[in-house]
Amino acid sequence: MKLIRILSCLALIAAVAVQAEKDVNERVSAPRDGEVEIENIVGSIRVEGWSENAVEVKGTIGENLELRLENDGRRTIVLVKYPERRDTRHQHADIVVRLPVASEVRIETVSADIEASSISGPVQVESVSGGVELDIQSKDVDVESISGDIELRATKAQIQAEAVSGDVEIHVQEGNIDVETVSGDIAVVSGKLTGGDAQSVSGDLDFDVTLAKGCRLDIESHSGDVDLTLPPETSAEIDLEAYSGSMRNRVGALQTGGDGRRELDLIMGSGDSRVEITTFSGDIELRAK
Amino acid sequence: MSCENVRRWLEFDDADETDALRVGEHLERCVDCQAFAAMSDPATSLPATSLPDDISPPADLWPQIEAKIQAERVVGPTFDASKHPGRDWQQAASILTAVAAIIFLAVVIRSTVAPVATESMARFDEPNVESELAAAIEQECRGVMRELSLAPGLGVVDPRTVALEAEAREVELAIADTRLAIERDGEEPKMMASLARLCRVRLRLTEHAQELARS
Repeated sequence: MKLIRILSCLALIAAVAVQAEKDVNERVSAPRDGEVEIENIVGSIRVEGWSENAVEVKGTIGENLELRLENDGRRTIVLVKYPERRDTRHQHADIVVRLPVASEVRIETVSADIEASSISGPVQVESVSGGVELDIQSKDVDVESISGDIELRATKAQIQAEAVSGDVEIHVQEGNIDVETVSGDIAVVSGKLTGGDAQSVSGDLDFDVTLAKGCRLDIESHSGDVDLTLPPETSAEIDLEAYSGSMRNRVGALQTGGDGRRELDLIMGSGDSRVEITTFSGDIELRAK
Repeated sequence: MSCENVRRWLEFDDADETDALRVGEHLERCVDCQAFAAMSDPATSLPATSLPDDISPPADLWPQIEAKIQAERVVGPTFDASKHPGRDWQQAASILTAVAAIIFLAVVIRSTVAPVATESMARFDEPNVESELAAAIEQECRGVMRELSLAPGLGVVDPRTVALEAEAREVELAIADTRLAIERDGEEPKMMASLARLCRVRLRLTEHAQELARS
C-alpha cells in the first residue's frame, strides 16, 4: 500500500513536471521585407503574415526552454533553445510567430508541426517528422520533409517539395512544381501548370491539372501508379512508357506512335505542351475532367 | 568524355542522366575531376560530426580512398588549411563521404553493363574488384544505418531511422528490378537514367540518416 502511494506521488510529480510550461510574448522591430529564421525542435509553429514592421512571438514553451528573439537589421531570429541535457523528451514549445507579410521566411524543425498563412515572401521549410501545412501567396516555396506530410496551397508560385515517406499535396492556381518522394504519394491540382517534374519510387502520383501553353511535365515512378486528369480541350503531346505496368488512355487522345504495350505516344489538340510519364511497374491512366 | 564535359555535367542539376555511366567511368580514373566533384558535391558541406565513428570498412577499401584523398590534397583548389585550423579534417571527412558516394554511384551503374552482369545485389559477392568495392560501400551504407538506429548509450531504436532503413530497402529493390531489366533488354537510355536516379535517391537517404543523427 505504501509502495502504491509512493508510486502515485511520483507519477503526480512527473505529471506536473511534464505539464510545466511558461507563456512567452515578445516582440521586436523588423524590416518589411527582411529575413526571418524560425527554429523549434518539438511542438508546433504557426506563422502568420501581418502588416506591421515587427516580429512577434506568442505561445507556451517548456519551463526549461528559452526563447530567443533577435533582430540584427535585416535578419530576425526566432529560436527556441533546448537544454543541452540529453533528456528533453517532455519539453516542447508551441509558438505563434507574426511577421511582415513580405518577409523571406525560413523554418526549421524536427518534429514540430508547421502551419503558415498570409505570407508573400519566399518560404523555405525543413522538417523531419512534423507535418507542414502552408496556405500562402509566396512566389517561391521550398519544402523538405522526411516523414511529415506536406500540404501546400499557393496562388502563383514556383514550388519545390521533397519528402521521403511523407505525402505531398499541392494546390497551386498557377505555377511550376518540382516534387519528389520515395514512398510518399504525390497529389497536384493546378488551374494552370506552367511546368512540372515529379518523381517517386513507390508513391502514387495523382495530377489534376490544366496545362499552360508550352508546359513541359515529366512524371516518373518506379512502382507507384500515375493518374493524370486533363481537360478535354488540352493541347499536348503525351508520351507514356511503362516497363511492366499497364497504360490506359481514357482522355480520348489520338495514338501517334509506340508499340502500345510498353510505349504509347499520344496527341491532344495541336500538341502545344509536352507530357512524359515513365514507370517501371506502376500503372498509368489518363483521364478526362 | 573530357574533363570539361564531366565538370559541366556535375555542375548542372538538370544534366542528361544518361551520361551518368560515362561520368562515373571518368571519375574512377581522373583524380582532378574527383577533387572537383568532391568540392562541388553538397555532401562536402556536411560537418565531420555527421560521420559515424565506429564503422569498420574492409581493409582494402580505405587505402584506395585515402590515396584519392591524398591526390586531391595535392591539387586542392583554393582552400588554405592554415587559415582555418580544424577544417582540414572536416574537409577530408567531407571529401571521404563525397568520394565514397561517387564511387558507389559509378560502380552500381557500371555493374549493370559489365560483361559479367549480375542478377541481383546478392551477386556482388563474386570475386571481382568492382563488385567487392561496391559491396564494401553498400555494406558501409548499411552500417551507417545500423549505427544511427541506436540512440547513443541507451540502446533505443530511433523509429525515424528505422523508417529510413525501410525506405532504403525499398529503393534497393527498385534498383535491383531496374538492373535486371537492363540486363534483359540492354542499355535503354531511359532505364539507365532511372537507375542513376534511384542510386541518387539511395545515397540521399544515407545523407538524411546522417542529418537525423545530427539533429
